[in-house]
Amino acid sequence: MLAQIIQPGSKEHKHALEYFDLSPAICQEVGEKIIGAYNQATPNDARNAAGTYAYLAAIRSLRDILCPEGWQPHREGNIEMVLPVSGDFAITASSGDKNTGRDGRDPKTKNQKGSQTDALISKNQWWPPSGELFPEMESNDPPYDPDQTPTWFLLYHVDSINNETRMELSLPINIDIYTLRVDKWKTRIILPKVMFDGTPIKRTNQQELYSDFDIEIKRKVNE
Amino acid sequence: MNDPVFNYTRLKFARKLRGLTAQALCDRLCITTRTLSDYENGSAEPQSIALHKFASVLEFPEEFFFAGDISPLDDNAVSFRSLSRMAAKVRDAVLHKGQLALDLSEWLDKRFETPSVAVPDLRHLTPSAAAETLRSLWMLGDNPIGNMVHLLESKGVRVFSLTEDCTDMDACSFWKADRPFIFLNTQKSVEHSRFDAAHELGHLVLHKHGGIGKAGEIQAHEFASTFLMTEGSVRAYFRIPPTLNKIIADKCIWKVAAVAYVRRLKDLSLITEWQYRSLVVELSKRGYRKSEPGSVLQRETSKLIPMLFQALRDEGITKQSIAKDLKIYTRDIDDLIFNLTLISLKGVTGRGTISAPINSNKLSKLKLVK
Repeated sequence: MLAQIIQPGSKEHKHALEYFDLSPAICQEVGEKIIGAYNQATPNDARNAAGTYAYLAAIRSLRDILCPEGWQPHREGNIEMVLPVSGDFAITASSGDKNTGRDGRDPKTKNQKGSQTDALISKNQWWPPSGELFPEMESNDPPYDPDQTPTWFLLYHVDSINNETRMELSLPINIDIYTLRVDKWKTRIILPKVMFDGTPIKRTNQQELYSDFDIEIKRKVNE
Repeated sequence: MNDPVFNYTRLKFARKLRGLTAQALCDRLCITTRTLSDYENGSAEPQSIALHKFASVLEFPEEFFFAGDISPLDDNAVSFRSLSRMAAKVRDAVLHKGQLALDLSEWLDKRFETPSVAVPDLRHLTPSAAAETLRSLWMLGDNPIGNMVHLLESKGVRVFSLTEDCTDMDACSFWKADRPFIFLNTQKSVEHSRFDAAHELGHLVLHKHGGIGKAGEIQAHEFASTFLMTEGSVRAYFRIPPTLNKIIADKCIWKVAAVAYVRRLKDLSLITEWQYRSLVVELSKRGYRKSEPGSVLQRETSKLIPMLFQALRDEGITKQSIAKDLKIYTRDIDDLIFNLTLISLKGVTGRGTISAPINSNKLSKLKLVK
């Protein structure tokens, strides 16, 4: 079963971001932090440094941006997340494969996940209990409960070929028992992709070391 | 309809732009300085023969002298690299050419939306911190920068060239109506010019509100060095022993001058003071103080201007018609736009094959949003 996909620009997409109290500008900023951190890796770094830097930046930027608005950093086992004031849901971050942020085939997480993640996402398939995707919650909602509260993934993929980072906010429901990667999602909210300039320095081919910078122009109609 | 009126401010403007003293112009036209002074301060108006001579010697269409008031850029607002060794008439010429560039920029702004300005005010930071912050804001990470001109244009900076008669100056920059401008001297080596571009970027982010002076020049230099050669990337490629041949090979990663690279190594304490001095002496012996022998780098030119001109060309608007609107000759436009040899920039009517500009190898990424 393929996930329900919510694309940018739709009324549903707007409603979804409002539900999460996120804006395109916030998503853009998180995406930029991820790219900036990813590009910090140099040939002197350990092999997987770029990905690690990107993950750290994803978690930190979510908290840096949202916590001043009342959100709370939270750690469930070794899973880093951020919780809204309402406690209606939790958001964590993870790198995804090349299908991240694209319509069509469902993405997988880039890295294997363990039993703690499995426990957290297993209840997601029963969400939402009312059948409404983004239910209005009462003001006296119960606080965050790892056995009840859904955990959404900010899934991101740094695509250095197309110079873009694709992201989505998705509700995971299954970990593949062979690959140990999250491979099924109930809902995928595709976020606007973030374009970037510059090619990661870890590339050693001289021609690929540099990339060009996109420039867009638009003709005005009055002249 | 009234007859056009001779605008005396434009006569002096044209003379200064061509780098001519009053005496030099009088000698060429066989007139007295008193006569010229009368023309330039509006006490007298040249008759048609005199006007024709002025236009011919100063290389402006006669219509130029009948347009509205014009004045050079305010020299207090412009930061000049290498100001100390620059002759006053060269500085004057640059200030006047700068105004022509503003006219061209304004003409283009009326017709196109171009990248918005993303150059922050970072005066509260040290030069190195400003360079690192700007790299972070622009999501550049530690990557070497492939093309400084393209980068600047993508962030809303207008980059123009200064050519043959301004060899005494390296570069200059200023803010005008919330738009940053940089002028680069195309007579310098590519490596030198890239550093100049980064240096002027330093002025734009650090000294938007003035305070340049000698200390400001040192700050801009530090900014440029850090911006072009990040500590992370330099450390990643540096290996001991730092032999001369290795230095000459490695400086190509950042497309900087060998001397600038060696200086960066010293500033990062990767080489000792003694090693630095020895390397500079050796580089001088091989001619690296004044140029970059054996460099195969292509000059960085505008990416934005060819896009804009191509779009205009598609509508049948040629460079000649732009020049006519601005009441100047196309040569003055060429001087400002790196003498780009695009067919689209020429005044040929009808469709022709579009050549890439001399140095651009990635025109496929240009986007025109209609």
